[in-house]
Amino acid sequence: MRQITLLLFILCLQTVVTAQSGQKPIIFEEVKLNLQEIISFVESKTDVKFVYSEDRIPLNKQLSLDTDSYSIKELMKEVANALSLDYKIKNNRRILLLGEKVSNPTEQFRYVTGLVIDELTGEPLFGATITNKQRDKGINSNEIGLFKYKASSDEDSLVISYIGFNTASVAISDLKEDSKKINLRPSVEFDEVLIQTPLARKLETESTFNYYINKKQLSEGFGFVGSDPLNKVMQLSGVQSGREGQINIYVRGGSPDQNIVLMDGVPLYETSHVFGLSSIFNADAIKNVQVYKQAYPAKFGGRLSSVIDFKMNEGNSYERKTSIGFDPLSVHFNTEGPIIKGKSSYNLSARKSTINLFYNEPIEQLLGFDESDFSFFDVNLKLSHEFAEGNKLFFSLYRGSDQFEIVNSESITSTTESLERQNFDNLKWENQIYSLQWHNSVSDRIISKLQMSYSDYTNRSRSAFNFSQFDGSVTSETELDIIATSRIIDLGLNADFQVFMNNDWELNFGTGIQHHRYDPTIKQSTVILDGDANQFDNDSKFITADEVTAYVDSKWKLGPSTQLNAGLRYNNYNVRGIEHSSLQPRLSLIQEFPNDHKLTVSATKMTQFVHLLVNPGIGLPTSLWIPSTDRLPPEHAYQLAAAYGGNLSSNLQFEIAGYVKRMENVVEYTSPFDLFFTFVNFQDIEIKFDANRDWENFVETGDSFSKGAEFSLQNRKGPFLFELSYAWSDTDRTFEGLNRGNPFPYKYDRTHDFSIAARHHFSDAFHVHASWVYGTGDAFTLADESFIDIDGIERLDASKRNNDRLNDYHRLDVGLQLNKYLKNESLLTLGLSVFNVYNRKNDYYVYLFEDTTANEDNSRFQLEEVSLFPILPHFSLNYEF
Amino acid sequence: MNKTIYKASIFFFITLLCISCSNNFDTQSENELSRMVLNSVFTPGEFMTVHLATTRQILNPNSTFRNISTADVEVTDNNTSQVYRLTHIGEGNYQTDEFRPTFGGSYSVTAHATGFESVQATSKVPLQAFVSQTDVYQGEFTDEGKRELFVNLEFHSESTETQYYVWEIIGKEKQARNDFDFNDVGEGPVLLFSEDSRTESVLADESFQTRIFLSDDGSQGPVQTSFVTETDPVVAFQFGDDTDEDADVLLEVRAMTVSEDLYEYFKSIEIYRLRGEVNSSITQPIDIYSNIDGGLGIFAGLTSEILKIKLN
Repeated sequence: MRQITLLLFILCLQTVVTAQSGQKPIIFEEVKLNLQEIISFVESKTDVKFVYSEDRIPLNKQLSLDTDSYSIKELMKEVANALSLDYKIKNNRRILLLGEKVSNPTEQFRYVTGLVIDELTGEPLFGATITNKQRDKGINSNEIGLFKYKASSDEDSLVISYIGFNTASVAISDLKEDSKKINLRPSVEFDEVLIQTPLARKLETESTFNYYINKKQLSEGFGFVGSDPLNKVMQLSGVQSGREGQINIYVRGGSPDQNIVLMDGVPLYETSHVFGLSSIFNADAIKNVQVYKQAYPAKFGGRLSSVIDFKMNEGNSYERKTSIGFDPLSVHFNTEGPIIKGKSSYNLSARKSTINLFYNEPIEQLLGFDESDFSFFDVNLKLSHEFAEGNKLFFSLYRGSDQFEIVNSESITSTTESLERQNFDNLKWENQIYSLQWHNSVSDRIISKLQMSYSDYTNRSRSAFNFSQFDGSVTSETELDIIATSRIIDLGLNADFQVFMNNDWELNFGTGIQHHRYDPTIKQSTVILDGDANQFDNDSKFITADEVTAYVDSKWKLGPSTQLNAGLRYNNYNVRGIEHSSLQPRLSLIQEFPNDHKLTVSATKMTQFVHLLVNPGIGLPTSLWIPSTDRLPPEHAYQLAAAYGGNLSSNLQFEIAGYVKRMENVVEYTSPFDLFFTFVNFQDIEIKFDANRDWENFVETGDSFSKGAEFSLQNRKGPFLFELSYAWSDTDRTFEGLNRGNPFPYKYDRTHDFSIAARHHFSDAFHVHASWVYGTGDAFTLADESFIDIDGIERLDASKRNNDRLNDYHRLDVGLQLNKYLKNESLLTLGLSVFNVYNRKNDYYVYLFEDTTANEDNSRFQLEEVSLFPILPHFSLNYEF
Repeated sequence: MNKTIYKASIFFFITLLCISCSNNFDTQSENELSRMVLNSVFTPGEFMTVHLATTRQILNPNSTFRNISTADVEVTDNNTSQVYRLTHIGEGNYQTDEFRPTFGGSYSVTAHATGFESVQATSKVPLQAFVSQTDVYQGEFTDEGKRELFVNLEFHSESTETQYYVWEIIGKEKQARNDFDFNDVGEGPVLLFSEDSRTESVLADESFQTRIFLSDDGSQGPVQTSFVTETDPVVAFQFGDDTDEDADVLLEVRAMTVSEDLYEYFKSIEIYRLRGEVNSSITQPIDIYSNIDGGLGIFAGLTSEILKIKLN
């Protein structure tokens, strides 16, 4: 009995010991230790003993433990992974360290994953540069800050850098196959490091002379209404902006609809608020933007000229921040913060115009309107949740709405004639987009992104005219009421994969399906109708189209200074049972030279399946988006481009670029009823109108050819920053049924386009900025001759299409910004600016009217110009807490 | 280098402040040369007359219309390849008595004049299409005192090619039954409207037009169509209150069979009339159709009949 009891006691003792050894967690006081320290600590806290040979085990190798509490098994797994050790655990009491794993001679590498984030906000940093210590090879982080790197056995650390942040060095042993967060701290000192930020930065290893603008750069506002992200884009060389009342973008001879503008991956059909004073992009809500005007990655398509890809802020995942601001045009509000600290975050931004509350009357007096009403609002919301490092879900929402209404009358009187004009214009447009994205690091080499999206754009315009003309003996009156509606609904599902083959080879591929619904309508009446425009919606059937896309894209480093990017994109577009397909190759070669000089040569094809019938001149979104049909084929663009640039000195960076581009099946609207023509009718008639769905009969397709050269110079160091850009271009169009089949200048062909923007930091609390833009006037068709027809009546005629030009456009804007940090760490910012400082009366439009004199054989015609914005001061106040 | 750029930038911006603004608009259009305008509408059995004149630059007060009297003008009968030289008969008109166009004939014209680009054109005379008025009736008076007039027409053509028909009202007269005392009862063009879906509305809103356009796509046999016009208040008044019960009102309808060129020309003239002459940077001037290569105008053939519609 005694022996049995003793045996049982020994067994229990062993069990207790075992329980103590196997189950009790080991709590480390520090997480950065070398292997020797770990062994000593474990042996001191438990009865586990390590057995090993000192010359076979890297006892001095530093480790960074993920946590401070482990079981023995968990600890050994992590240590062995980090050091590539073989080991055995015996009876939970002895641990045999067998030495470093003998790897396959061909596998002296391992793949590590990292996640680069802003240490203060937790937001991922897109485009961070990751290189080895020698900086002879490197990669970039993706849009959620994720990167994959193939580390060789002789590499022990990586260098991570990002403009505006302190550079960090990370031990490769700290990185694993699944991602590890790498925090970068913003550089907060006001010194040359901070203000080295250039106004636009090229992705350092992208090397294709496309552009990336981060949040800090976007917040450096030069626009009339303060910081406007789209204004930053329009300051880039080769990117031309519209004129007064227009915020359209023209890139390398293309029309505004040939730029795909994305917000969190969802295409937008309208990017401006009323009169082009502001874009729909709220600087508080936008994190960064990428701009491609050549060498487009194969994942982008659908437009001919450029890709402008805005990403929304995810919000600070560590602390809540709020800001409110006010300027004469709007109030804005932004709040961001964590939902679950370190895991989930939100960013909510909203703007509401105040023009209609305070400024309608002064604007009416200033611009000569009898009555006016301008208003807009927009809301951006983004939610993000991190399931695990490298596994993130995002929800994005944007809603914006504009209302624009003016009543205007004008009288022109000469000695023998008087003309009175009254017009009523009303525009309403709405944008809303919803997007759900899931980013996931699927394996040590693959990152996936799945996205569902919904977009709804509605534009409804109405223009009513009443003309009264007295020619000395007879008074004639005409009326016209035109209602136009354009609605587009898009549903999309996309899957993208990024495969990291090795540090010199990255493969991207993906697929997607989109369902589009178009509803373009124009109606006209020869009398002014009573009631709102939406009362006259008809039940005409909309047009649906389904689109399937697939792409593959590869980046190879052919040598230490040569990279080849090759991709292929496929689109299939089905509308009304008619299929259009397009294969679009994308090729670019990058060669690096000493002093950071680079040469890029690219050849691309882009295809576009939607077209914009543009209201010819006044820059308001009274336009129709129409799909390709059996009678209206897709547009294609073939572009060859080359760019060379680099550092002239430590301060100065330059770029020279040239391109030729041929576009097929571009469209011109040839209907006699532009939205603003007059309608002469000698008899009163009853109200009569009908929906015009025959736009296919009034569209002409043709070709366009564009060539150009661009130059930019920027100073990116010191308290004085500037960016200068100049572009020369020549774009013409040829249509069989227009201009007798002869080429004519494209309406938005801008021979010379120049801009200079400068900024001087006197201190971190005060800076001034100025910008000057210049551009050749837009082309238009002037009936410059007349002839007598077979009935003996004089008829006006234009000798050529687009035979005249508006006056050259130029204006100067200046401003200053004052920052005041308050005691509770809040920030008060005051901005003062003046738009069009020297009050240049830039042409909005010109018109010709006849001043008949006593001599009937020599009638005089006069050209009158209408301008929009004179000198306009502006201020803004922003409080962030 | 930094200081130099800094100073240069300051100087640049200050200079810009001194630039004055300007309100005047000066055209950059470089059209300084007049072009030749050739107009000729010919009918079978009548001498062909070609009129030549110049355009004028509307922004140049010294630019005027001029007849061209020293041009070399030739017409070729494409059926016989015979070339005829036209001589100037005054005021820019050129004519020959050596031939007269025939039904179905094809003709080409060339004109050369010093200081102008040479012009040329080709057109044909369509085959005769006989037109008859099959019915006419009047609607009730409207509150505005107007009255609709419904007219049915029938076109007969033996051609297998597409025929182009255009008709218009060219006259309105009050005709006394007894003493042939004519006087006009209204001024201005009479507007027409057609509900026949085969007719073309130059503007998709189906507005009233001065001319109606119809093509038969080569179908044979009679083409029946109709049109509507409104009698103006003066005419209606004549019917309603005029005590002159012995008066009739005549409407003269000219029904034409035209070449395709003339058909397009008339349509563009109609659009021009409806559209007006607004000439600005936000509108596109109407292009009046022309088949004159190197110039402006129209060279085309037609046949026509005049129908008299009596309203009583």
